[in-house]
Amino acid sequence: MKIIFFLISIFSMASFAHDGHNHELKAKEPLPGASIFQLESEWKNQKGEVTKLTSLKGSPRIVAMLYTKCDTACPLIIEDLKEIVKDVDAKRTNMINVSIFSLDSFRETPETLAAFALKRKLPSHWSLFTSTSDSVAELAAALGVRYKRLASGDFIHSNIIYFLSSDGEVVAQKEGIKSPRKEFVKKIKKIL
Amino acid sequence: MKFLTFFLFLTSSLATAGKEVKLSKEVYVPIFRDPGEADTTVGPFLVDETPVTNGEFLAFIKKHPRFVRSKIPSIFADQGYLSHWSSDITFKKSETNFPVTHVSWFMARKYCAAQGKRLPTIAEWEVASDAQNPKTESKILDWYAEPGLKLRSVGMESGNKFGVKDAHGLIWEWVDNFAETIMSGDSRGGAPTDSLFCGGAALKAKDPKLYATFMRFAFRSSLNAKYESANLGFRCVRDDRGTK
Repeated sequence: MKIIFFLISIFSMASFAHDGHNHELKAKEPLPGASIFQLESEWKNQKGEVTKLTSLKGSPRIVAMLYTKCDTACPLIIEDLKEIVKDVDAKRTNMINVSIFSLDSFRETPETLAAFALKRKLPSHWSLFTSTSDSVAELAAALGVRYKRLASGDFIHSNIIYFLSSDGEVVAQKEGIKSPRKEFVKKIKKIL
Repeated sequence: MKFLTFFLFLTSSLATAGKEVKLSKEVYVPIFRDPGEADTTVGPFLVDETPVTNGEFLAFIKKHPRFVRSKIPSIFADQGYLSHWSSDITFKKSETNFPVTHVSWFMARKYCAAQGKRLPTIAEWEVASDAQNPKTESKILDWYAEPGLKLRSVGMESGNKFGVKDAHGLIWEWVDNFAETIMSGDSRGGAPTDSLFCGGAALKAKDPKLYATFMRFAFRSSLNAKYESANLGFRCVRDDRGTK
């Protein structure tokens, strides 16, 4: 009898232990069909580290596509991102993940991304990425960003900010630069 | 017997390989110009003589079963993906050589990549299809005006001046950079969708007589990478590295 109790307690301990590792268990669940993590592209971040999109799995994040040599819309998108983060939770801005993907596969490097982060005073936990034109095209297509590279090397592009679930599904988006943030922020708060 | 199976194998692989048409360096004159946009050259490249067929697409699906209709992740294709097929891997036998339609940009791209090819760019497609030839224009307008949809096997018509077949009058075709078709000179004021079909785009056209071209660009600007439709298919191209 004692042995049985002992076994039961072992099993229940094991199940508690599993609860503690909920994240690991979740990682094995299949991705939702609409997840951008279905894309298998590889990206380099501002530190020069190569990562797959799936490495972003596990925490919700705000995402935008722009390029750092852009001096018209992109600084405004950055300001917008900072304001959104503040609106969501001014006291815990470092809890909100932001990932920026460059449209400019021709000129963007980890160095230009790092320099941009410094110049624009981006929080250190924000991540910036660059990749090949193929990967950029795929991600932009998946998100719904339209863009065109001009002869000058500059880009015409949609200005859309997305909020992704921890599984990589777009759950909210905000179109346009000077558009109101309220609804977008509300949706983010609901999920966080 | 062995010889016979080898022969069968050879003929079947030849049949699915598909013919290609060689294009040398050609000039592309853009219809809509952005600031600083000049004429560009395309090629040399090889373009599929005909659009990809149901039969060819099935061969691809069989090698990549994760892309069958019932398993396709929704990020790659809308619900109508291959909806004209009777199951994941069957369709009417009589439609084997019909152009495959109900395919998204993602899947068209994956198909071409699996052949060591890619989707054509807008410039390549416009050049290879001889789209801006005024003689082609009237044929295109007739087709656009025709209600209803009649697909047929590919390759039944004689080719254009390059030998490319079925570029007009059968289906619309995906191009790799369809999302460049923003049709507003500048998207910086907001989302480009605001001005997709505004009159300004028509005014910016190089030659307003090219209505068919304008319609093709308008169609492309309405697309989204997951979309599919009953008359939207594709063909592939590859760079011609063999020329001196």
